[in-house]
Amino acid sequence: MDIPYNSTARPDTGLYNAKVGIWLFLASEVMLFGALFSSYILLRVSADPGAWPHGLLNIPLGMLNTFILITSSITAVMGWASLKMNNFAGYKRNQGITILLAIVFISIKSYEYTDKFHHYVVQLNNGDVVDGHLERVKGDTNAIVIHEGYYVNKTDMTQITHAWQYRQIAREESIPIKLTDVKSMENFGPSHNAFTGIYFVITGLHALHIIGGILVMAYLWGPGSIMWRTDPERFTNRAEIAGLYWHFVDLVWIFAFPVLYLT
Amino acid sequence: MSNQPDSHDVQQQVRKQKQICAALLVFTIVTVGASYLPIESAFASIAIAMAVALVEAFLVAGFMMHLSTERKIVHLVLVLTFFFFTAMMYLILWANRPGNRLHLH
Amino acid sequence: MSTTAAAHAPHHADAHDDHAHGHHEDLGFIRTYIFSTDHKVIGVQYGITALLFLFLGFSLMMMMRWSIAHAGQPIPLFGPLLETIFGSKFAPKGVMTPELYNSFGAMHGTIMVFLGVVPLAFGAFGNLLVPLQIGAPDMAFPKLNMFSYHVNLVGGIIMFASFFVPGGSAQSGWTSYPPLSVLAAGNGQVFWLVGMVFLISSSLLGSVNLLATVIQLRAPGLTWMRLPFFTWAQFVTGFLLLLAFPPLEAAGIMQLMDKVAHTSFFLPTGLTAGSVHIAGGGNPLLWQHLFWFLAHPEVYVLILPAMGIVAEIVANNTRKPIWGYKSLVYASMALGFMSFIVWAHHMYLTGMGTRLSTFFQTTTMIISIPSVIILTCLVLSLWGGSIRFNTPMLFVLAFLPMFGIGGLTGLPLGFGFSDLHLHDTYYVIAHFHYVVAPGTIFALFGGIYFWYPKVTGRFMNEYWGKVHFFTSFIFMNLIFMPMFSQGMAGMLRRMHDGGASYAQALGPGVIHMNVIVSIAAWSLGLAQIPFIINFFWSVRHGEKIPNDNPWDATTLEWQTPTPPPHGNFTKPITVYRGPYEYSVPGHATDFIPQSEPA
Repeated sequence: MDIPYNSTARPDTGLYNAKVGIWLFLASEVMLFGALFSSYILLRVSADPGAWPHGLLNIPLGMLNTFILITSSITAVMGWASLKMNNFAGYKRNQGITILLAIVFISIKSYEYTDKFHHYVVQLNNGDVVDGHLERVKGDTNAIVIHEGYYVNKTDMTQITHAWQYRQIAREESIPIKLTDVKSMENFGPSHNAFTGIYFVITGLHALHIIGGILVMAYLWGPGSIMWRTDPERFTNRAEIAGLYWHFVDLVWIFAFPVLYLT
Repeated sequence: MSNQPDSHDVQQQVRKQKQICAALLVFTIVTVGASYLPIESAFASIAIAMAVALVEAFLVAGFMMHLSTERKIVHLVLVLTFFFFTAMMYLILWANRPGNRLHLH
Repeated sequence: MSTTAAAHAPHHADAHDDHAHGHHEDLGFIRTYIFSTDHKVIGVQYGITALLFLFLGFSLMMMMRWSIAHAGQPIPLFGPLLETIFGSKFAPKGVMTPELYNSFGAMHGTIMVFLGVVPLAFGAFGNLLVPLQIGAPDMAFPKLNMFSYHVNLVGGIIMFASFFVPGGSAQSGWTSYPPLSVLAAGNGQVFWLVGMVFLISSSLLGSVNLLATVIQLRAPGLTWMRLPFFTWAQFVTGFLLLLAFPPLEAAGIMQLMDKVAHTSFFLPTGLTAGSVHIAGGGNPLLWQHLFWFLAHPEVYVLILPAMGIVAEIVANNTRKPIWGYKSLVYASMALGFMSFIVWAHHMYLTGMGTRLSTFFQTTTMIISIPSVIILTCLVLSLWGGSIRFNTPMLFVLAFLPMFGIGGLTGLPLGFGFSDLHLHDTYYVIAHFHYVVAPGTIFALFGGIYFWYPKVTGRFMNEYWGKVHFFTSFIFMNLIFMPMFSQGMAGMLRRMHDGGASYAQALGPGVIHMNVIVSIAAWSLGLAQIPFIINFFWSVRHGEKIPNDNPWDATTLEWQTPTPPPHGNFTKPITVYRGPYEYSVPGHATDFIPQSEPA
């Protein structure tokens, strides 16, 4: 049984079915990420002065990831354009690059996540609070070293309202600490504060969307590409739809990056 | 787009897309650079970041996603969506203002 | 509506030689009944699953009603079963503990709304009828449709499984307000959240499918203003599901993180539970905003398909066009639109200032206008009609005043000053149950009796249908009408003892009413037995329909063979007329199908 307008456009709407479908889906995604960004704003304006961190994230890496995602969007378009021009090899190459770039994005993201799990805030028994990268000392179970650390209790955090101010805080290259002097310590995982919570949720959900996109594009690149031989127009449309989804994922990052990393 | 454009048309499109890509990369550098400037006002730095993001978003949505030439019904759905998104964001934030919060003491 | 309907499909398809696409290969049991991409089979799947969950949700409530009427006493008949299933911590000697009551209460609401009414109204009726009514061979994305159903089923299984995890199911109301929902012991809430993610995703995909289908697959000649109102109602419902559900999905993820990853999206600073200091920085009201952003449009998701069903059955059984078709269409669009900006009328008591509360009171009052327009059009449609009082018509006739009561009793809740007194009382329960139970569910019953012949080729038994109707009508009113006065007297919701612990404040009359209401509830349960028997018995033994259009209806679903084959229509359909050409002067018959040439 044939569903009409699967590949050909319906005259009055001017669209084929999957195009309508993907835009409807993307509308719902706007609401999904919109709710998360609204939550971000709410949590941020509600935060006590000095409680909302700035500059916590690695901006050069974030910028690199932004470059990667933008480039992957272009290669996705070029893949679709290749199909339009009957250049299947070009599609394979461009779509392949898109997928690879997406995988690199995820790798960088997971490096960033791991990095956050090594970033600690340590409360000492004497009242000092040290913030920095934690490294265990080999051979001494009681000793840790905080790299690039600073004393939170000696810094007026209410004055740190921008990433560039955070970078200007004077840091000590390594602060040795005995675990017996430690009252409590916590890494910058999701539960650390409201910022890390919303950061992990927004970027985590975004990453899940990237992985979903990788799966779809990999399918179209691999087993799904046999449709090129049987129904090239429909296959081209599929590439277009996947591209639209991919651009949306890029769009979310275009907002997430400055909001989370830069401001 | 199920009409078959000729090869030249598509190549024009590809050239345009590459220009958009270059513009997006430049804007990214601009916004990162702006964040390094010693601006004191939080409002100003957020405004700059959002302005650049909006421009980038217009480029991606308008040209890479071909929204600018898309059909009316798609525009209608998106206008509706953005209205509701804005209403949701604004009303939630309004409800959080001190005048709308419980005073327990 | 049963799985045997699909078994007829290949046979009927064989009988029609002019069937354009003649693939009648036997797909096997699994691909015909379990993993079918045919919207009719999927519609039946949604329908049967939803009816089962409605039964489960109702059963939970029947046991809760015992606790309300006779708190602390062992539940007769089912007490021992409860103890076996839930253990002596939750149901010692068959007595419902407050914790079990809360668990049943939260799940009753969740199941009825998300696993009962929505899948039945939108998943079943929408899937089954919309492609037929628009002259399409199937939904736009049949495989996605199949996937959506199974995601819904998985969500349902997760919700059901939550009863059996240590600590029991979610216990913080269907509204799951934090901090309680996050801090409550056990993993039931986690199951609830994960289940909701599945259910929401299923709804989202289903709505994409429905909207794309209506936009793209209308038959030639079927312009927007020739659509049956049922399809319009489903269309607006689709938009509500599409745009309102995602914020709840986002909130669900955040609450899941709060529970599992110990974030504090919704836990405020300074909160301690016992001596445990909970990480702060969060905002409990954020959950409420995001939840109600969905849950308000959700109630219009519950009512709109019902209004659509009422319109179809009224037009057909008055032999008249619906009065005010255009008004109905524009009012339903206005209703859908406004439904997004009224949500904080569920939050008047959270400390909002007068300006904000005025905004939401205003939008809430405005939204009552399209609602009244729709009800008025449906009521006016009866005037001058040649009314056939068959079972479907009885149900939709009852819908009209019942929805009227439900809607009007919402007004004091919509105003802040009166909601102050009525919020979280039994008045609220009465209000929303009037709209959903003798409202929506009656319309759904009517729809089942009405479209059953198209799916099975047989009528449901008319006598027992009327018994089902009259008994249900009486008992529903006996259940919910007293709750208005109980609520106005100050009886609060979600109390396992029905207010007995502050009986002195409520007065004996209010407390004694609990017993009457409970008896009515159990009687309502008994009243469903004829329906259940009728539903299954009539598949094989119901009176056979004389032709493919037994109700003499105008809309396209009646222009198919019975049951419709794969692809639905045996010849290409073109639409020449509007959806309600009944009693057209000068015409030989009192109805003209939409596909009949001018």
